[in-house]
Amino acid sequence: MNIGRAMMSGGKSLIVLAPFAIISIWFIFTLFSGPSPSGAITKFFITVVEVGELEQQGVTFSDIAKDLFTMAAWINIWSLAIVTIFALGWSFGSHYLNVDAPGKAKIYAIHWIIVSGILIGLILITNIYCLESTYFRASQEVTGSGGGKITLILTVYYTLAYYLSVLLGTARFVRSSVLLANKLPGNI
Amino acid sequence: MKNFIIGIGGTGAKCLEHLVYCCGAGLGPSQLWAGIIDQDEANGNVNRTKILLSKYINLRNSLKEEGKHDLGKDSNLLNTLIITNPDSVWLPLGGANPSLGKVINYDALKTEVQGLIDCLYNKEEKSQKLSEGFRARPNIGAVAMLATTSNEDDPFWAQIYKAVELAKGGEEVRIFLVSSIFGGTGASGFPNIARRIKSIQQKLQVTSNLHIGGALMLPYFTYEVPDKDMESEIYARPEEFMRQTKGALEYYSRLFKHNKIFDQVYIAGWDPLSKITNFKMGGNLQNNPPFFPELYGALGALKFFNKDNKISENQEVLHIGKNPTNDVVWSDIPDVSDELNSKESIAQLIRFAFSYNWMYGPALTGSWTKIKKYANENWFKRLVYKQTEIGHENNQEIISLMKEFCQDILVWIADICRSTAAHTDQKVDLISSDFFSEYKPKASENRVILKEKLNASEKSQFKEIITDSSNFKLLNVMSNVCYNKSIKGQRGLGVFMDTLFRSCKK
Repeated sequence: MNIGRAMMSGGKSLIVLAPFAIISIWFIFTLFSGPSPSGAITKFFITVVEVGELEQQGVTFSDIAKDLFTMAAWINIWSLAIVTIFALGWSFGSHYLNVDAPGKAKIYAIHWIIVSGILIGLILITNIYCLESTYFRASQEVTGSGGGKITLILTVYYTLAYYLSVLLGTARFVRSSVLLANKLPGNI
Repeated sequence: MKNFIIGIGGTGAKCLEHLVYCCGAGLGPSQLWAGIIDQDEANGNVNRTKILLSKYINLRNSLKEEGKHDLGKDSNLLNTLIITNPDSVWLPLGGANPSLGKVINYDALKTEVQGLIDCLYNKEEKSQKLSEGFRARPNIGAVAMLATTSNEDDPFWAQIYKAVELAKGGEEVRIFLVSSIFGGTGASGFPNIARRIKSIQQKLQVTSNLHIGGALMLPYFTYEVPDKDMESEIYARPEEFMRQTKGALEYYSRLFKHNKIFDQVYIAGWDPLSKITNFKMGGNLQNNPPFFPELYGALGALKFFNKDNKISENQEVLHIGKNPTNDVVWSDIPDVSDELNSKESIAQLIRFAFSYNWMYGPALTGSWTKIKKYANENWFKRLVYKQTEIGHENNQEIISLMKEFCQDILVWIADICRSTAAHTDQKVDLISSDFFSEYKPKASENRVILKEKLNASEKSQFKEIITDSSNFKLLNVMSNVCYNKSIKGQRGLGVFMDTLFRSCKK
């Protein structure tokens, strides 16, 4: 029924998501291409691993860097996939929420909070799984505070991408359900 | 093109009622003068139409107030400019409760003429007070109609003179008469008023541009004969309808053969007859329900006025009736023209009335403190807040006028569906009204009572309100209102009203 408008909403959502996704994809490719000795990314990863402890074991950062970068790339891939699915899903699905009275859209704020909460939860689980489990060998070299730092940065980044994406992509009549979205001008 | 419609008698007034709603839905011409002829001035049906006409005109004027509100010239909502005289009803016989004897001055007649009158009318007929109409006696009505004057000073006839003058000036003028063939006022008024218009035309030597059309309603309802006390009374007896109709049809057959009075005549009938359960002889208590066949009369008029309706030199007689089964469905409603789909427009009006009455009307009613909770919603910001000061007293009045009109629409359509089929084997399957209204068949007033509020489950039945399995939900309306753009030239509350109306189109 609202398929045209739902597609348009998906399009808007994608437009907002695109810059975040481009940065993310660039980052993923950079990570897969391996560490460069003087790069900023390398410098960041040095801060999240116990370099001193590694050296005591006779291992240098460059020995584990590739594994570390691969792990970070996969965290980003999964996070980006989750955000894309959730942002497009909400934007598209918002057209089918049963708003049958003025003011009723506010009720769907609860639904939006739940969806957003699940998204944040999934990003956190992805991070924690990758950083705490043995799935990636490099995870054991990341310090607790380093892991926290990575999780925080990625969660904030992808949540922001999701929020801005749904801010613009949510169906006009359901905007009251998304935090501050009803402040948008009408014709957007 | 200038259009004039005259509803004669109770049926004529009721057909006019249907026509007003159709004009509200955008099926009417751009301009229309409307008048009613009925001797029974206090008649409930006539009054209902009078009130409706005045509501329509007020509402339309309010939404077309220069500099403040404008629906836009292309809006289909209330698109017909309907004009009436200050008193839209013309009484053939004025004065205090006249009788036929008084009208023809019986006592002053010569004995032999009195004898002739005695042959034609019995004692009761001569003394029958006519303030409540001609009681299905066209022989009385015809005398009354012919006894009246039709001079230019009379506000009603002044309009007819104006129409003929306009035709003389080169403008195309169409006049339409609608009445029943079997009643008193209608049956006597239909041919006589048409003839009178023709005579004015001849008097003013107008040979072209003036077209006369008419709709004759064959018997389409009946009622239970009241108790024995009524035996001496003069009233419309349903058992006589068929005989009267037969006589009238033979008369018209002869008339049409020898005299071209009408350019187009629409004839509508109905079988089985709908039943009225609360018979009243006349007066304000006679408030019969709207019946489906009357819609044919109204649509016939709108077809006649339509610019695509080319009027030929020959007199045309058009018949209409529903499908042969006892079910009345949307496809039984004829289109006004190739461009104007009656079903779509009426369905759109019903959806609009529902959404406005239970969704948007309440949201826009009250003080700003109450309304402002919608201030950030897309539809409100774009279509209301930016356009007008919604809490203002005048705007609140328009909102309330629209709510009343929407309630009338819902009552009208629910009443048609229920009353046409009540106590018969018929089923009028146009809308589903159980979930939003209550029907009391025996009541003469407030037969259909609308629910004040609807719960979530009732609102969800909106998709079934039009029984055409279109699955058009309230959600679609809410969505459309937020996405439909306003049209250039619209102002004030006209922006919201027209956008909501367009949003109700499937």
